[in-house]
Amino acid sequence: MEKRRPQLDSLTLHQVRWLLGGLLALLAAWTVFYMDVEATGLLALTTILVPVVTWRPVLASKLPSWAHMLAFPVIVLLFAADFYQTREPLPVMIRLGLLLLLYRGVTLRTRREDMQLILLCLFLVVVAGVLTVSMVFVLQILLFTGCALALMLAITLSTAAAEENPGDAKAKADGRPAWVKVDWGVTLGRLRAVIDWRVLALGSVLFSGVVALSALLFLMIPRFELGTNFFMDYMLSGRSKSGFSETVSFGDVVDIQQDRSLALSVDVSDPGRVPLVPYWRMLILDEYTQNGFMMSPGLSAELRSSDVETTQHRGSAPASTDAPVWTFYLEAGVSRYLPLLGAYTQITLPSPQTLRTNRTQQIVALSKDPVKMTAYRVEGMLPGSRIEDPEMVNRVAEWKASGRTRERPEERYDMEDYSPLPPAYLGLFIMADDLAKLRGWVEEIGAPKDGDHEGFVTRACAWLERRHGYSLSMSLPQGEGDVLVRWMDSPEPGHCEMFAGSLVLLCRAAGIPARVTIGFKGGVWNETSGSITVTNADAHAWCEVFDGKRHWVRADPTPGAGGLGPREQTAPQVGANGAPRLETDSGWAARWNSLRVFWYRRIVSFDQQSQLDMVRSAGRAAESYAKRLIKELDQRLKSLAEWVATPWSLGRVGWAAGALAAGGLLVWGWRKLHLVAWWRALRGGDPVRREAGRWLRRLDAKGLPGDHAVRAELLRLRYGRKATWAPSTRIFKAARTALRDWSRRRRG
Amino acid sequence: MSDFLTGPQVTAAKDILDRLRDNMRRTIKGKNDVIDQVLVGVAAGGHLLIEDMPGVGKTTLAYSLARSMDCGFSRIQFTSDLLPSDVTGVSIYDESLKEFVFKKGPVFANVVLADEINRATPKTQSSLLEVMDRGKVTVDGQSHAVGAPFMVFATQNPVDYEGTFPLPESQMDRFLMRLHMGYPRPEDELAILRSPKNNYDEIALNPVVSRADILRLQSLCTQVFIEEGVLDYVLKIVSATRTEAEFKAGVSVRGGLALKHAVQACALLAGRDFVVPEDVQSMAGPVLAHRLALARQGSDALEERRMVAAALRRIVAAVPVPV
Repeated sequence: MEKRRPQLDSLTLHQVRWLLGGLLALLAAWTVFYMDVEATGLLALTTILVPVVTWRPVLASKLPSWAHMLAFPVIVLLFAADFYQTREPLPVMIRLGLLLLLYRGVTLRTRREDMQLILLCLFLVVVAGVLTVSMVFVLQILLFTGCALALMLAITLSTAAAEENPGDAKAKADGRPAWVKVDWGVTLGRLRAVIDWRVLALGSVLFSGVVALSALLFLMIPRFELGTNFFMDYMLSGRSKSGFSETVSFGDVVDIQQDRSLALSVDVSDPGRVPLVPYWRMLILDEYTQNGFMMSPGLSAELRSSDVETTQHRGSAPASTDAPVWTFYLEAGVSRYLPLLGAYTQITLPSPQTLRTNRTQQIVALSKDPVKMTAYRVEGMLPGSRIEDPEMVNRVAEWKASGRTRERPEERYDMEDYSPLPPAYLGLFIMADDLAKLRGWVEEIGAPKDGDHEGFVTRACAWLERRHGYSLSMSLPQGEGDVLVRWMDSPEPGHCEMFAGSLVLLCRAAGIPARVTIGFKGGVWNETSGSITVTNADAHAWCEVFDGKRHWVRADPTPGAGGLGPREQTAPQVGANGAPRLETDSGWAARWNSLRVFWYRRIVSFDQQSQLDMVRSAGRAAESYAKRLIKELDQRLKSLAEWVATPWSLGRVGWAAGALAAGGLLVWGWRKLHLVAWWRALRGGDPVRREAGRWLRRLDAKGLPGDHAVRAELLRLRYGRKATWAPSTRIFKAARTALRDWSRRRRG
Repeated sequence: MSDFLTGPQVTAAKDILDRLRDNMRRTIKGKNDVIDQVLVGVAAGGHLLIEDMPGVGKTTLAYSLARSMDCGFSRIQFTSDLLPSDVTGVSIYDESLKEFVFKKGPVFANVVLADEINRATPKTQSSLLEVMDRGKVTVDGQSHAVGAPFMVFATQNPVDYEGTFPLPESQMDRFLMRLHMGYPRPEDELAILRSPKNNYDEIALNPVVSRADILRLQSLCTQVFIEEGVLDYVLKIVSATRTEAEFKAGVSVRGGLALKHAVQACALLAGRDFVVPEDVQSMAGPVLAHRLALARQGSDALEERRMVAAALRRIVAAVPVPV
């Protein structure tokens, strides 16, 4: 028997190596797609050229030698030029990595260069993982691990095969390595022929082992903030892919698509404090212009002026010991404005970030749109429909005292000398005709008397609901003048922005300060993760109207939303299972979302405290499971004893006889239907034969002479007829002795 | 008879093979591996095709085997004008009996040497199909058994194309193995040159085994045990030839059976009553190579044979060994 049996010949192994290298290069290029790096051309070139050349390696062999000579200086030059121009080290390094990847992907590789490719891909995958912290990174790193392990195995095997048959490895056809002439059908066929379930099982076990070990290491090692301690920090805040804007233009969006992707996950320490319908406030649009609602320059300036880099921000709400802790996980690309339910005591971020805040309006924003998930913890949050604004009364009074009225902008359609006090909660920028219509409707609704703002808002909501239905798809009536007035004048249905905008106009026409608020409404309780899940389809617009005293009151005029928010704080709303009285979700989407939440909780925002919590909770879970198991066993035994002790009736005798017969049938089937043989086939044959095979392999590996007596005995055990076997234990013992003697002799 | 071999039976079979081997080695110098393959063919009861250049000892090998066995031997020199009846025999009208009497042809022997088989026309070559497969000849609607043991020992020159007719696949498939003699080593060739004997007629070999011994050997051979894993190994190799893109067609079921019989004989030759994977590996080339044709034709016959052998080696190396 040969000492080592090569599974595939050297040429095929070379081809497998080449294929795996190409896949690895493509995988690394894929990870770069997730980074906010200017490398579109290079990425496109890599994703086109690498697969083509991987498929036809003969193309790589045709690359002239001068190209290889020029490659290094050209890459260095490009790197230097890129760095000189951009002065951004990380993007330049990523582009350099891509360039090297491209070069390695389209040129023939030696063993050393294959290893370089693995390291290069590891760099790109890890950098992408750290920067994006996306869940796709898990898939990417798993794929990378599998691919890299397979490539390293192929490298080892091909090296061994090349050592055995040096001619094969150096074989050339037309001056090129023979392996470049590849028929992938044949190669993959050969590969398939050598891969049986044992190889796959072994590979899976090895792969799982590596992944499990890595996970264990991850759980055990101390935490450090990679993102903020490295120069790559600024990369963490690039452009987001989408998001809430600071303007709402009516008429632009007439058809809203329901996007069910996850926008926000919220953990709450006391689910009983979750409102029945949570309104996740994000930003307020206070100024109305001819283009719609927008955040006024004054409010924007206020926000901008509050820039501070911090991990903690104190809010206006008083500290409370029994207030729940809310942990938010805001998906990348949603917004830089952080969703909140109301006033808060403190916001904590996992790492220092530049925050823009408005303590009065309860708005908190990051300075840039985040390109990765944003986690933050909020303490002492007061969910409710009222936002306290003690300065507002004075502001309005000040504005009215300044002599400016809302009459000017109604008369002249320009903004030049129109500068209401910031924020512009009473401003109307519409033509006189439209204002007349608005006033007519205010009269129809019933103008507020004696500062009864809330009564007017309730009536206005009902008025709007009577005139318009709700629809995600709408058509705006054609004509001149203000879009919202046109819409209110028609019976057309509309979406939340139309209703919210209309109510604000009506309120302002009635002299009530009002503003549009943007955020999310509602959410579902994810039973798997035990958290609140909010999707992009929950995005919503509503209003906040000033009550004339010191509060902004939430008013949601969208049909079915209930109009004016409740005056008092929402009473605890909790179900029998401790979950909030939100709609629950336990489907596949919820499971997938819970996986994301797990990723965020345990991987992304994983600090030492979480580490300890996790170990403690694992211990508690194991303890509780063991207790449950023992209790269950006790109960079963007790019920069996009771069952036996009960007087025997005919039915019970029959039942027992039936059970015995079933058992007997099983034994008969086991023997007669060769179930034993099936069982053995499943286990991989006779154990004595398996053991003999193991010993034969061991002897071969140690180089025991082929004519050794014990080898013949083992061969008989492995391949001979059972009836002719000698006692197997004696033979295995003899094999052990022979092996020991042989090793000793070789050492001696 | 029990369904498995006993120790004495294995010893007896090995003894028969050893006697044949020793006797043949007296005449055939330095070709022990070829002699072993011939003995595998004898034990498995198959027909052998020996391919090589003229004058390397093909006929001598066949003759020495025939002389070592106490069996009937005949030689047919295949030429282009040879007729089927010259091989199988012919019915002749007997005046005295007033009826047709079958006159047996040279194929009626225990060992038949079909020399230069590819020089005969396909029609004449085909006359061997029935007898090689069924051990009988049918002439004028009457079947005539050739007797047992029966073994065709064919030779052909793979290089020479002029005036030759390549054997069809159906004929090739009936040969258990295709062997190659190769040139002898210098020291062996020197011994041959020193020998006063100029041709095989002068070879003085006494039979060392009887016809009954051969029949017994062949019967014992079928009882050599093949473990399921090894049988599966045989099947996987055969199946792999059917999916290999380099081949026009894979090995037939008859080819798989031939490999099974050959590995059993190989085990017996090694003194074992069971087959090990090494038997399969050593027999795969001689038993399967001549049953395979390349999908793309090579530049010449020798090149094609080399490519087939290389592809076969790859397949054998790729199929996992049942250890």
